[in-house]
Formats: sequence, C-alpha cells, structure tokens
Amino acid sequence: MIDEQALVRQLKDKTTQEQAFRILISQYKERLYWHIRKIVISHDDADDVLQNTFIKIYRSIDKFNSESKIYSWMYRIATNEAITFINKKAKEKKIDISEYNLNMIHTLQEDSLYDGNEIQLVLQQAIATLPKKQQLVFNMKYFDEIKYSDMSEMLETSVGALKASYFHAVKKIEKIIKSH
Amino acid sequence: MTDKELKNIAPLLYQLKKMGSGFSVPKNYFETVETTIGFDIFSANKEQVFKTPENYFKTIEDSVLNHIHKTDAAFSIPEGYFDTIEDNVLEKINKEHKVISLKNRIVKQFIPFIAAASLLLFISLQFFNTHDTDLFVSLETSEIENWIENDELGLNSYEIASLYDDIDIENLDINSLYDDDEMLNYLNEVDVESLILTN
Repeated sequence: MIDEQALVRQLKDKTTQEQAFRILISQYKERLYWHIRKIVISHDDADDVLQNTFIKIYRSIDKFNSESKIYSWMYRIATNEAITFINKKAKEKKIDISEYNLNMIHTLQEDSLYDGNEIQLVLQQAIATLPKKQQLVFNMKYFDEIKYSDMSEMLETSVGALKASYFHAVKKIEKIIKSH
Repeated sequence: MTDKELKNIAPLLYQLKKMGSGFSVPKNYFETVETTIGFDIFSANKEQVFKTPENYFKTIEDSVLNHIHKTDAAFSIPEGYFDTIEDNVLEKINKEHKVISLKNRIVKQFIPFIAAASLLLFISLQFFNTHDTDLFVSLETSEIENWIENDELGLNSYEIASLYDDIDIENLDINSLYDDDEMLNYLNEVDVESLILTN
C-alpha cells in the first residue's frame, strides 16, 4: 500500500518527481483507463485520453493541494478530459452528444476490442440512453464499485444525490433489458 | 446499494454484473502504455539538455552578415553594361513600332471587301429562309396527324381543351352521344390510367 502523502511529496520534488510519477502511472493506469473507456467507448480514443490525462496530471501536480485524495483528483481530471474529448468529436461531426454516444455503441458489434454478447450490448445501449452524469454514476458504481464517498469527491456531487441517481439508473436499465 | 439490494430491485442487472462490460484491450497494452506515457512526459524535459557556445547569439549576427557580403561579391557584370543598356532598349522599342504599323495598313485595305461579303451572305440567308415556310404548307395532313399522335405536340389535355371554348364541357351529355355498350368496349380497349388528367 502506497503512502499517499509521501508519494505526493515526491511528486512535487523535482529531484524525485520522475521516479514518483512512474510509480503513479503504474498504480493507476488501469483504473483510469477503464473509467475513460466507458465514456469514450473506443480503445484508440481511450488510449489518447489516458495519455493526455497523465500529461495533465504531471503538469498540474503543483496545484494539487491534498484536500482530496490524489486518486479522486486524478479521476476528476480523467473524467473532464474524456467528456471534453467526446464533446469535441460530436461538435466536429455536427451532431449532439446523445447521438454521438449512440453511434459509438452501434459500432461496438464490429469492434474487435469488444467481446460482449447480445445482452451485454443491450446493456451498453441502455446505458447510452442515460444523461451523461447518470451514465458516469452507473458505470462507476455498477462496474467499478467505487464507494459513494470517493465518487462524491470525484464528481463533486453529494452522496445522497449519487445514491438517488444510481437507483433510478438501475430501474431504467432493468426495464430496457427486460423489454428485450 | 449492496449486491443483495441489486438482486431484489434488478435481477437481470445482478446476473449481468459478473459478465463485465464486454470491452477488451490489445495484448500487452498496459505493459506498453506506461512506456509511452513516460516518454511523452519526460522527453519534454530533455530540451534543457541542449546548450549553445558562449556568446553564440551575440556573434551570429556578424557571422551571417559577412556571409551575405561575400555572396554579393560573387556576381559581376560586363564592362560598360549600364552605359549601353539605354541604346539597346530604345532600339528594340523602335523595331516593334514598325511591325505594328505594317499590320494596321494590311487590315485597313481589306475591310471594304470583308463588309461586302458579309452583306451578301446576309441577303442570301434571308432568301433561303422564306423558302422554309413553303415547306410547312407542303406537308401532308397525315404526316401532321402522325406527329401529334406520337406526342410531339408538347401540349397537355388542358391546353388542347382550352382551344375548344365554344364547347360547354360542364353540361355535355355524354350519354346521348354514346350508348353503354360502346362506352364499355372503349374502356376495355384503352389504358384508363392514360386518360387521367394530371396537373
């Protein structure tokens, strides 16, 4: 278990920064990747956003003030980078973000990096119908099993609101899956 | 929401949870991405490693200017070039004037002949055009009928009907003109859809 405070000190110290940063990447690359992937859908896009996220974390490390956990702070940066990315892509294609999300899900069947069966695809389609923030809450709770207290720091939303959002998301998605 | 609660509220979702999202990654992706990210971030710092010689930026200006002056000296011109150039240019201009005036003289001499030929052509064309109207009169009636039947006329049914404004179509009693059998025979033979008037 990494001592977070020690790691943060090393990250801010120029003499130890590179080594500390390599540890940070090693520890968090997979968790951040899967979080980003569920937002952007495509592996190539997730790869781009993941790299941009770590670059941003590196450049902003001096601004991290330890009021939240470093993991929550990194997750917040990853979320913002991913959402900015898909908004930009939707704007380039001159479509709204909901249509962009649905289009991305429709391409999943032909995606060689998607192994899901038919019902799993229905689940992804159902998730894509939710409002963006509710999608985040659902994915972070259902797939990543992130605690509500950590999620509250990452999404800057109260625990109560997150619980309600997740409950409604679950009901809605269950209904969609049942109808198939 | 615990798994137990999820099972009660959404049993299908509870079962699907074990299957995961369905997304996968290329082989060894997480091993290689670390190297890629490290390179992206830490290679940016390496620009500080390059150094320049002492006073490099102070001396470079003199060095470049010296090089330019040497290059200037490499070009040379024939002796007395600027003295003779004036005469050479004027001579060329005078030659061009002579060529232009000869062309003007030739064109002026032939204008009357060109005008006369144009007038003759115009008159003869007019003569041959009047002959065309006679051709129309000599056409056989049967040729005109065939032309209309082959739909060459370019008029629709409404336009043709407007020519017969002396006929009161609204009060026309078709029954008095044709009996039922004749009408039925006609309807059997003709393509009814072709009779439908369209706007």
